[in-house]
Amino acid sequence: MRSPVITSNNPAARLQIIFGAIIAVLLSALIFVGQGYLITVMAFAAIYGIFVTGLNFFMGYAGQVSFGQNAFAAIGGYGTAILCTRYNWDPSLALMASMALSVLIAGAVGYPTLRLRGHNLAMATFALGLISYEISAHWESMTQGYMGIPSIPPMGIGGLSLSGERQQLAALLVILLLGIMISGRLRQSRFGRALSAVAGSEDAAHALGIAVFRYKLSAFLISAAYGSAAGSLYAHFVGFLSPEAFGLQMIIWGFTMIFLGGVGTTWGPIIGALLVALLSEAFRGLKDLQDLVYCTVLVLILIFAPKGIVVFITSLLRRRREA
Amino acid sequence: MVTSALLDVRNLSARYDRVEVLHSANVTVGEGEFIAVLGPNGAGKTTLLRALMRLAQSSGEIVFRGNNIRHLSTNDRAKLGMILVPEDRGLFGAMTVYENLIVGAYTARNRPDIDQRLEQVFTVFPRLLERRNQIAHSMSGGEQQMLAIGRALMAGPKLLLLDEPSLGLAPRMASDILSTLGALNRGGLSILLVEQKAPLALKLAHRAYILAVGRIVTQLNAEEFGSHHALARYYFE
Repeated sequence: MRSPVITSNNPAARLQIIFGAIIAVLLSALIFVGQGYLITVMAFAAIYGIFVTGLNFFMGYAGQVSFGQNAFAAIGGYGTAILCTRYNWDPSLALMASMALSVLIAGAVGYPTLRLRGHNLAMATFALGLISYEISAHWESMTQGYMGIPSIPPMGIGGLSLSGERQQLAALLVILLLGIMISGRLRQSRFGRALSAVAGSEDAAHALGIAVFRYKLSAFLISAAYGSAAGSLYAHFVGFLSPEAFGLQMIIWGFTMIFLGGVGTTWGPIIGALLVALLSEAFRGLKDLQDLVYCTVLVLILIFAPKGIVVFITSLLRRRREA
Repeated sequence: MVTSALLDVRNLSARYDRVEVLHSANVTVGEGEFIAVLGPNGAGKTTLLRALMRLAQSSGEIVFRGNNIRHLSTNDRAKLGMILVPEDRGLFGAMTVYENLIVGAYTARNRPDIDQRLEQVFTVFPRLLERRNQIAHSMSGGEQQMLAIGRALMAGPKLLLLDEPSLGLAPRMASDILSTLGALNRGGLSILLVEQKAPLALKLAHRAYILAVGRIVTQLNAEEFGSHHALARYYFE
């Protein structure tokens, strides 16, 4: 018998693609019909979507924990802001240069710390996030501290600048889709399967010939690159940067998005980013209490729907159909 | 004989933190041999296998396929063909059977190799072919053990290390799994099997080591299995 070359037939994956397509269509429609504030909200969703797609490489695919991903957004944001406002760099070039710096720093930090496991790694990344915040707040000659950096130019390539919010949203969505495509393709590759194996059992992966440390480091570098890009795009979109933009709140938001949508799935984090961005509008009246709401949502998800809302809803529907 | 051994372990001691749990073990596995390591709970059987894979700290010499692998990492040892089926099976629970098998073939670079190994695994365990789209952790204990062994076969082992594959299985399933190992060995695969269920293992093994409190206390050849009092004495002590 010739063994059939079978591809894995996973119903959850197909469902995700449908979800993804619906969201992509809705978002594209928004570019044309959306007005003022809605466009801003969607732009934030797209920027965070890029951030959490990167975080998902490390926390979802590779099953590690990082509380310090905001550090790379800060490097990206401040890198691009400083290069563009002080040295008149081209925005796209500044974005890429900051990304390279982020990956370098991620390598310098990840190389020693990723050999640690569990709590130690989480604490090391947490420290990284705190340090980046302190630097952005107190290295005033560079970052202008709490005063912030104003007049950051909008995104653009060469002389071409995207001045309108609508154009910027379109560009963000294109970048987001590119990021998701890379994430989806890598997940289905040998690289992605090895990452899942590391997430499943480090010892077992190691004993099958997978260089666990190298994969963890790669996932960390990729997530740093995404985080950095998100930070740069944020700076270009808002046009103003202060340390709060990349503080602890970013981690709380990122975690809520990634777990709400479904950690380790390709589209889940994007769905989470969209929902949280919309929720943040609903909860705007709460002001400082917002973080409390997100943390509560996060805890509830981890208890009742640890695989995220997409899996939760489909399993509810299936149960109802069977009942 | 020792010089031509597939695996030659000299004075292997292993520790967890500062507690030494395996003391100066000497073990050889010849090409095509089926070796059993027997001993009660806590004798150091699992530690022996983990030390061979460098999943536990150890000292001593390990020569595998003529290479001194003392300084090789776990993944490099796997690449040389030393493949472990761990005690907890170490399956990737959220992946399908098929995905688990494909990850098993991680070190195989080309598709024809992988397909050929898949074919072999599905011939050995037809159940895995039926269950190929099932999520690993949703299968029965016996099926999971088949998958753990199947995944190890995907890695193209020269020496298969197995840590109590019968653990937690119904007697019938346990003996099925072990006779499958016997068949694989007759097909040329060298096996180092750690077991608590001595009678099952002794039916298949060419030689056996008895391990008690971290020391190898005796070594038996197949013809000694039935009569040797040492076996009963060390095993039940």
